[in-house]
Amino acid sequence: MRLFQLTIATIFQRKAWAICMLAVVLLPFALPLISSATEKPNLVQPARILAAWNTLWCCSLLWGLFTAARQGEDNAKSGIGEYFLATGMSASRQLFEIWFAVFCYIAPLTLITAAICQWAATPGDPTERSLWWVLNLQYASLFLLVVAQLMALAIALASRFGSIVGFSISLALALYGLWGVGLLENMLKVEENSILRGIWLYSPQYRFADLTQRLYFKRGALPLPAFWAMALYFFGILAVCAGLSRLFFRTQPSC
Amino acid sequence: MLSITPRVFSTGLIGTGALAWVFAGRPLIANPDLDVPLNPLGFNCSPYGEVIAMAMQGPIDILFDAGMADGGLALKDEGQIAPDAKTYFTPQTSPKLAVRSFNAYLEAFLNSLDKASEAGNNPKAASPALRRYLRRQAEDKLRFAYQLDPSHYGNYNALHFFLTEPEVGTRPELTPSVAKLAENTIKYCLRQDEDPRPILTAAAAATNILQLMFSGLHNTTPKYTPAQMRQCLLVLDHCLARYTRMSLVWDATKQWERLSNQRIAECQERFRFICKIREAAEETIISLETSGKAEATRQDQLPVFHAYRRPQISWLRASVLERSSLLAFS
Repeated sequence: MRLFQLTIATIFQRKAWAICMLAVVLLPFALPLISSATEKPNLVQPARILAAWNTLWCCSLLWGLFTAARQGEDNAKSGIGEYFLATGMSASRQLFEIWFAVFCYIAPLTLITAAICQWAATPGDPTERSLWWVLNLQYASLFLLVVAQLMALAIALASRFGSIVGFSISLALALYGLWGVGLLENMLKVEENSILRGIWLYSPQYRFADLTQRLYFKRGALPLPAFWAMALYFFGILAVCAGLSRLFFRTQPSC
Repeated sequence: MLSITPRVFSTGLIGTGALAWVFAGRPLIANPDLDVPLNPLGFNCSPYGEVIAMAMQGPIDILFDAGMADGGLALKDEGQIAPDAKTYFTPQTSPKLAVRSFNAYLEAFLNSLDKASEAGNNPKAASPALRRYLRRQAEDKLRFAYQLDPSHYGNYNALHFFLTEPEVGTRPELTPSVAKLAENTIKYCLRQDEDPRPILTAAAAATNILQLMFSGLHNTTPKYTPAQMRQCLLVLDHCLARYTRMSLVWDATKQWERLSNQRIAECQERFRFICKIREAAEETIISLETSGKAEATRQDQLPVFHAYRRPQISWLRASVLERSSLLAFS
């Protein structure tokens, strides 16, 4: 796990992770102070939920994917990838170790967010409270499944095409999966189009992993069969992304 | 000397720039002709805005539905429940059919996930405050969609409906602002001279103004005279005549063929609906002119516009049911 340690240490030295950590910890408590929750105390918890999960999405999609892309590019361009290849570490293992290092920064942020929602935004009603931790856990798992695959893609694309391409493609895919597919579906409901329908069907529907509205409106936990179906769906996409990432990943500059 | 010159140069540049900025900026801000309405990226009233406004209808319907029902639960079409995989795959399925079946299966699977992600699991019913909040959200989104494309028939009518229907809307009845909305819509739509569809929106806005005028008759001192109503009817007639003319032009230039059958049928249906409203409005005005104000204020003299509201409500409800599988967004 030497590449993993090196990547962890490099990201740690760059210190940008501290900004994300501070944002994830402080913004859920600071942002409600500038919202209408100051006038209506019963809105503090919903405002905190929105601030917590939206901050996490922003940090993961902006900093997380950028860091993943940068590490992927650095590994190929700086000669580290070639060095580790010479020492017998395969490209697949290198990809995994870089990915795992970045994941180790995103996972704690997710757990902190879920914990803030669990303990600082719990509903007062006991029936709602009993469903709360299940929903938090479901949200955290689906979120990690989605971000994990996007990070792998960012690392691989960046190692071959550079960090700008790796970051922008993975970010665009995330935004498309979160909101683009919903807009496309709305358009298809207004007017049917077989080509667009096909694109929509085979698009990654990351919107299912965004349970912020569910928390916000206290709709209760996802039914277990639906949760496992979603988990299976995202595992499927994760496998496809992992395969594609391995194909794209390079340990040395492409030209 | 060398180290001072760049500083002097920079300071001079900053000072001159700041002076120019301040002195040139003030008249620019003060000039009302240069006042640009807030329109990020120019999306409002643009072809992109029209598409986004169309795509927004789904989330609006869901918010509306959630606001009218129990807040957390979105209405679901029972037909969208994912059928079992066995329904799609049989031993006799040919490869081409199998691909189609797989697509249908995948679609049903995604719909079932969509349904599960939206369905509420909370045994506690939503509070009236939350329902009201959701309706307010729907209303705000309707206004946003209207700003994106004021000529869209659905956007305009849904916003009008929200503003005038006290049991649905979240703000008190605002007759002057509703009338202004209708006037602005007519002005905007009649400026569009390449498409007959905005003219139908203008016609709908004219019928809405007539409706407001008729509603005013319930007051002790009615604000509008039959002559004013007749004038509004002329605007409606102008819109309908213009739609017919434009429609014929589109027939000749085969522009209707660019639209899907669904869109064409929608236009025909709206045209028929507005024509019926127009006839009823004329009858009401004639009866007002002949029988006088006192008689006209009687409830039974205005049957059509009470009947008129019902289709509007059912239209919005139908629209909700039609797109009931969409998730609220914020």
